[in-house]
Amino acid sequence: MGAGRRAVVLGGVSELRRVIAERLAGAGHRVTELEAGAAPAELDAEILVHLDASLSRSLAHVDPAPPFLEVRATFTVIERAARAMELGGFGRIVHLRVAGPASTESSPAAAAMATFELAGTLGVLQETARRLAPLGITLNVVTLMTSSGVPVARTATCAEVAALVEMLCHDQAGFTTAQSFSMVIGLG
Amino acid sequence: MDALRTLREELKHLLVTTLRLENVRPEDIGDTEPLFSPEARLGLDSLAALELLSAIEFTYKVRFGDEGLAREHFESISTLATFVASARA
Repeated sequence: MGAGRRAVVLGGVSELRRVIAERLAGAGHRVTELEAGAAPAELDAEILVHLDASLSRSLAHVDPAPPFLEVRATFTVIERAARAMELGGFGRIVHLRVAGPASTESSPAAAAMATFELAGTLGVLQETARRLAPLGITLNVVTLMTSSGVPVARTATCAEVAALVEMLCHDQAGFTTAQSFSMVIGLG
Repeated sequence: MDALRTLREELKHLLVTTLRLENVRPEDIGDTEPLFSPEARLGLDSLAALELLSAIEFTYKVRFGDEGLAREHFESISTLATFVASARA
């Protein structure tokens, strides 16, 4: 049950991508890891886990791209993947992003841009997920919150993030779509 | 103690490569330099902790238990090295 799907884990940061890929492979899927900016033809999969550019930027302390470009890039990847999924009548898309104090505390303008990006991403998610639902394709967003205040007195592990991703990619998760999940990974 | 020193140097390299820190050289990181506090020069966040932890587990084939992921282990290269050494033992 649920085994042997073609899965692509795309972009983002190396360890998290590797652990998610291993987790999906462990569930019996045929997994390909791809760097961000992969050719559209390579997005021919039934499962797409998209690690947002915000993950690499968070590590490198790089200022975010303009929110419009950000959201459009996400939308473009999801659309390409969905096109291939449509043919098989099955698809699981998880968009993984990061949010934290660093993106909002530096200035009011940065906070406004972060809000803009969040609203844009969730808006695109809602609209796109509704359109894809009748085709058997689910689309969900997972946000890793780097703020502190996690009720668990330790940091999260890549495996724990991967577990949520795997759950959302499960064959039986077909009714979980257009949702936004948050995981506080901050050191409490 | 030499083993611990070697481990500290390895961890500095692992930190720089895993987190793709472009403006930091491994040899510039102090043994006891704070890594994750907000006022730290490196200013790493919990996503960095997540990545680093996974890289350490993969590289040294150690598994950190639930109690092994506490904030104090991430204070500096020195505390990380001590922790990895005890986890390997």
